[in-house]
Amino acid sequence: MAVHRRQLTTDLNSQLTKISLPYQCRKLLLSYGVWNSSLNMIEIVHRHRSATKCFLSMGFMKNSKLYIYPEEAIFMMQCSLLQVSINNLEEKNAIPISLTEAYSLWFNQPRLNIKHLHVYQYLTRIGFTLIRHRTDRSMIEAEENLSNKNIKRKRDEYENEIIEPPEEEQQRQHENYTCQVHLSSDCQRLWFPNYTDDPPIDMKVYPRLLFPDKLLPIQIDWVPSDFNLKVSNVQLSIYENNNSSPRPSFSLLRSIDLQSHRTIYQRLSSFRFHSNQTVQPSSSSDIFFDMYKSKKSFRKSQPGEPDYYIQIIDGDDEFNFEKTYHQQQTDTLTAIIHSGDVSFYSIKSFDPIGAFQ
Amino acid sequence: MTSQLCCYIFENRHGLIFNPDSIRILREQYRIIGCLTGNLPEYPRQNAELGLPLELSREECCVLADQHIISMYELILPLNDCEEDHAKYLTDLEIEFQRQKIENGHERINEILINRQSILQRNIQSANENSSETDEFTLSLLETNNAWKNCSRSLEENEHIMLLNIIKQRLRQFTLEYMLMKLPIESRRTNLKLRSITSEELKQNLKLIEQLRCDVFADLYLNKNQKYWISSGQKFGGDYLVYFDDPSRCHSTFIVTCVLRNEIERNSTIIPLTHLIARCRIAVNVNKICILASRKSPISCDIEYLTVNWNGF
Repeated sequence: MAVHRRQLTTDLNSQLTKISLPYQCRKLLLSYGVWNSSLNMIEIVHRHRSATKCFLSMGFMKNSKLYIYPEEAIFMMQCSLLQVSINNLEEKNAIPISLTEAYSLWFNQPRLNIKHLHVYQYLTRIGFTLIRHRTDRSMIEAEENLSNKNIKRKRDEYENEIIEPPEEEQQRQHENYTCQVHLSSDCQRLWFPNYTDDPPIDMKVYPRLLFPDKLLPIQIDWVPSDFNLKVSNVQLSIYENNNSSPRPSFSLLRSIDLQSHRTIYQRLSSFRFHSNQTVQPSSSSDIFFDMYKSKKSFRKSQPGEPDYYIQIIDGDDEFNFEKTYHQQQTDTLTAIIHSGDVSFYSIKSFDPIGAFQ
Repeated sequence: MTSQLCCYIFENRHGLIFNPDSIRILREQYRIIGCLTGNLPEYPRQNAELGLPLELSREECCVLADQHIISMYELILPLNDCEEDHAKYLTDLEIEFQRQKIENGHERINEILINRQSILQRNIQSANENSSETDEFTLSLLETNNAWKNCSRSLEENEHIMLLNIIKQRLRQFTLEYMLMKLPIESRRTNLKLRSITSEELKQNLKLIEQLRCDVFADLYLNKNQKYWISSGQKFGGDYLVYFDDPSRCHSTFIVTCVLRNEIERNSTIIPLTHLIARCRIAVNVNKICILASRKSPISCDIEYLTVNWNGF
């Protein structure tokens, strides 16, 4: 018994000793990064080949520069692969950010906090590739994808290029397509043929449109008629549905308004704000990461459909049956974090009758 | 009274401790387990053992702050580099480089001396090469290296020259790029601003159930009769797991769940009976005891405990 107790004490002591070892690496093997506060990302200014595998799946390119997310930077720092500084005065001799400063600087925000980091670290450690959920990506990525079209690609990228999916799947992809802000040169001109980037306009010159407090159901003349039917069934706080009264002649958005960003903005900004309620995020907004199993052919520019979607919930929150039941993505893993401890659950709808047929 | 153990607070609920010595003190002297969340330095790509920082729950932070064991802070942003800090950093870097150079030098010399037989046999042809002058650094290393001092007495002159050349060659390889860079854990900026946080601030705007959890933790932790070790019980559907000794030595004995009783208008408990049965069965299956903790009265801080056991007949 005394030997067993001594062994257990030694195990605790060895565990405490292990955590006190420094995160260290040869200077020549380090990659260097600089914190970009406006983007809330880390710009990699010097890449070493020891971190190549990490950079293949982390961050994104913009104007030939690599930017990585804070959780990726922390992971690399704790793998002794990366040193980050606040400014870029002396690339390799700048004062490095300490772990404490990195946590305080990067994870004290409403949209990115410590539980996101815990989930990211936990899954990345065991070999999964995690990237930010696609609808969560910033405009920078969209612009960069467009500007990268002219860059020559390496041979293996041509060889490993993803084969185009069949027509049915392409159509499905179009239906779920989330429109991002494009440069006007690449804008789809099917619906907005006269769309152009006009110079900034003086708002005083153009008269603002005023709408009454109570708006009657609207009709948008350039969309299919069944759309108007669906819209008329929607209850909105700014207007009442009154099927008996005739529809007004004015429209929410008219085809003549679709000249440029500015004209649309001007039209929409004319509405007075009636409701004090904040817009509730949709059920898919809890999904923060797309998770991919480890594979050599993974390309962060074209990751493909993720193996799982990661939804992150705090352990002290209550379980929302309604939201979970109507979850859009079926392959969702729910990560529950409580005081640093992470556990994963898979919650799916179940048909007791259909399951046994 | 401020303590030496610094805890950084995030989102007014998570406390992170970055200093490994502080973690050791908290574990060995104050029975605080917490949860390690970072990568382990030696083996970063696994989840069996984790590294810094240690995350403390709100309840642990409050109790430790009230007992003046830890001091809680929040970093005030933004961070700025100043010239003095940069100059000091470069100076420290140079000092560290010199220290590592000496340490590396001794290691190389010892390594060469251990393998001198095979080295001498391989390099017998270059014995007559002219050797360059030995620099001061190498000379100082050789003077302080006991293995060299002992060994050089028995070496012949050509062997002596040969080994000296190899030592000089190896020592030249250790440049600034070759030194080991450590990730700084805590900040050393002189212009760093910290805001002190009290336990009252952490307990502000807490829900009733969260207040109860804090009080139950304090009651268990500060128990005068028995020293308990307390960790998170979420894996078993409870609030806390209670141990009689360090978790590395024994399994937990109790699963404690905090239940609102007198704080709400209804007199009955808010936990449905089916949930209670589920908790009880889980506890029995994992050889633990299910305990419900609640306040005696709305105004009292005294906590009452109730055990639930399933009898299998």
